[in-house]
Amino acid sequence: MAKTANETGETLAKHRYDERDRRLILAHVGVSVTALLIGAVAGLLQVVERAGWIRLPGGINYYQMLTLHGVLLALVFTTFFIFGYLYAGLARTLDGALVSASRKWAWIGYGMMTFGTLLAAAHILTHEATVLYTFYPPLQAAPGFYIGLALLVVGSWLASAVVIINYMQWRRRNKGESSPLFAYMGLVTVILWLHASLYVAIEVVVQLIPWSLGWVDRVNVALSRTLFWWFGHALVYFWLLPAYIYWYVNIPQIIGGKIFSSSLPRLTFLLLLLFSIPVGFHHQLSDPGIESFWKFLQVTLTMAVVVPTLMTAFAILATFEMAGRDKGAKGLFGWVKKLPWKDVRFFTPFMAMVIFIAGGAGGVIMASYQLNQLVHNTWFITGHFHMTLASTVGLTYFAALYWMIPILRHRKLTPGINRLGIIQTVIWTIGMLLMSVTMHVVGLMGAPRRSSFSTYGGHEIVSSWMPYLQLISVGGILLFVAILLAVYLFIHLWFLAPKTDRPADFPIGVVSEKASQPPRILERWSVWVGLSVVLSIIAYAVPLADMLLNPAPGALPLRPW
Amino acid sequence: MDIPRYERLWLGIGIGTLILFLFITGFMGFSMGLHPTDGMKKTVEPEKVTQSPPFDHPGLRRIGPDEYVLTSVSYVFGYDPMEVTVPAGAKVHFRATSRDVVHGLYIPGTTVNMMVEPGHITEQTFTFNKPGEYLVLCHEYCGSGHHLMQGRIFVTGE
Amino acid sequence: MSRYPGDEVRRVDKDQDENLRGTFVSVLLIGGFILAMWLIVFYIYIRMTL
Repeated sequence: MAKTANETGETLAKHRYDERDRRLILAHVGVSVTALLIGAVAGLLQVVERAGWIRLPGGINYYQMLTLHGVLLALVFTTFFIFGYLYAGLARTLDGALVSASRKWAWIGYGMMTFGTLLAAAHILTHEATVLYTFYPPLQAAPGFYIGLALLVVGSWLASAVVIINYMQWRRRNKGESSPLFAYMGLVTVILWLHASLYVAIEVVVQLIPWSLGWVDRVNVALSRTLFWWFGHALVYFWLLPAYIYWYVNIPQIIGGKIFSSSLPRLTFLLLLLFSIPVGFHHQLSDPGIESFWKFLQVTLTMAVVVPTLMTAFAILATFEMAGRDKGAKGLFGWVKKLPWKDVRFFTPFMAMVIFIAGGAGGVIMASYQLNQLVHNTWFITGHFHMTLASTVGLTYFAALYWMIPILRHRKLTPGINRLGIIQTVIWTIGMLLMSVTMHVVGLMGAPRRSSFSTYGGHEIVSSWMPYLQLISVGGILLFVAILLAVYLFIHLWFLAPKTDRPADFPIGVVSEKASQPPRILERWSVWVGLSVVLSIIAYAVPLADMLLNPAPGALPLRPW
Repeated sequence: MDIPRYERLWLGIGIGTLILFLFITGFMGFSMGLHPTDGMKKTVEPEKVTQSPPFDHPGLRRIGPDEYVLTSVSYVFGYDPMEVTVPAGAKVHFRATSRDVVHGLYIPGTTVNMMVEPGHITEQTFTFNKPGEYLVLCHEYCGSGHHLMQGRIFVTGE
Repeated sequence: MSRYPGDEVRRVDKDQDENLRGTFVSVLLIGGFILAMWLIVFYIYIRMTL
């Protein structure tokens, strides 16, 4: 049996993906890219309506497009990519292929997720679920929408089980050894997901489905919002962690450098696990029904989750610098020139990192307790998550697809495609900065998000927003062009790029010889899962108990669209 | 675990800055009473809320020389009352609920930024120092007329 | 051979430091940006409230 690729420098003689794994991973990529394209079209329709350039043709509603855009991009494009990427990395770093018995579960999970997606999307397209991707009750969609979402989540649990099974099999066969970094980080990602998605599953299955079927009349609004955001903030880390995996594990190999510590990235991921979940209240700072003490406690925990990202910033730059100095760079910033700027596999995630700086700054501001009053539900929020989700996460995922698709399809990432990928990233970055920076500015000027075009009765403050809103839409159009280009490249790599017998290697970084062995405790999962649960209890038990024991009267359903 | 010295320094600075942010915001909140909107009180069933006090008489009520209580009901797609007038310098205590879905009560150019939920009473206080015509709008999606949902607060000059 | 246990660690630190100056300056710039943005919004909040 071929030796595994691990981080002490040994590589698989010639790793070739098992045919069954190729099909499984590509199936996930296919749904992901399809969702990306349709979600992007919805976004385009939104921006041209929002700037007042067109009225959407009869039958298409702005909020309907917004719901489609949010669900497909934030829930479907992401989830399917993440599991495809994790499966690919696990197969590569653990034993060359996924555990045979786990593939069945992977396919069942995939089937549930895909069916759930189609069900939910069908309801959105038939105007039965124009509730936005947060689906706050008492807005009530048709039951099929909630059932579709529930299937998506439960299917993802099976996918998560596949990750766990593969990880555990490796550990059983390699007792006492530290797991390969990719697998370790993949495991943390699914642990985070399993913990967090439990709460939205409770909201949807226990509260909303029975209510939408008419089995119960009323819904506890504060409880539903709390459950959603308990999940909702961690959701963004479910997206972010795979991007971090790319930065920590793939990039060092791409730039010809080394992973300088095998312990710090693990610690970073554990801190992300611990502090990404008990923080949902920072999305509810303007909500009634939650005592300020608990809001502020969760604000404090939110600041804590910034710390592992500060560590990541240092670690990634350090990897760049050390790689550059190893290649002979001198001076404070000489190493910058040594980086492979012309390699789309590096350039694209690098732009993702740059945009993240701005996105992160906005995040710290929004979480800052009463400062949130300035920006809640304004375009500032939208600007923030387009920088962090769409760009930091989205661009990194695009970069991965640029090399993953040819590897799995036994084709070549040609210099021509590479150049087009770089152009795609440049167009994206210009469009994103134009759109998102403007969103931050006009948000501070008071312009609301999640609202269709309106002059608000001709109020003068709205006229002050108008030029900015036009700029936002121009940026949005550039982004759409960039996505079209990206999707074209994915399709080209899939079907038209030159075939090869020897696909490129899935880049896995090598750990530096100077790095010490990671402390065993970093892999004692009972400790970390336990701590994660304890933190959730500390942050939520009392306010939740209050919502359950002193509830506001429940609300009746409404369908005001 | 080896953490490079520069990283320890960086984390020290970073964590110190975050603690500073927490200290400033915490102080403003718990010592100066500058909390984000709040409200632990509840109402009756949302569909009956306009029949029970205080929401059976929404509107502005003067409680002091420069102090008012604004009792407001949100609905698809408007506010009751839709317009009020106060003199510059007025301290207004907002008290808001919804009789149907979750709405927002937001006044651009101010820190009045409230989530208005059926069954709950959201409270916030703001002093309108500058005269002018303030737009009140709903910033939480509530249906097809969401972007038309608005009100006005007229602050008369001194 | 080091005379005191602390000496080894400090020498390693010094080597590492040389290699990470650029990183340190870069993260300080990033941190400075975040701080500056925060202060701007903080100032806006104070102006509106007090």
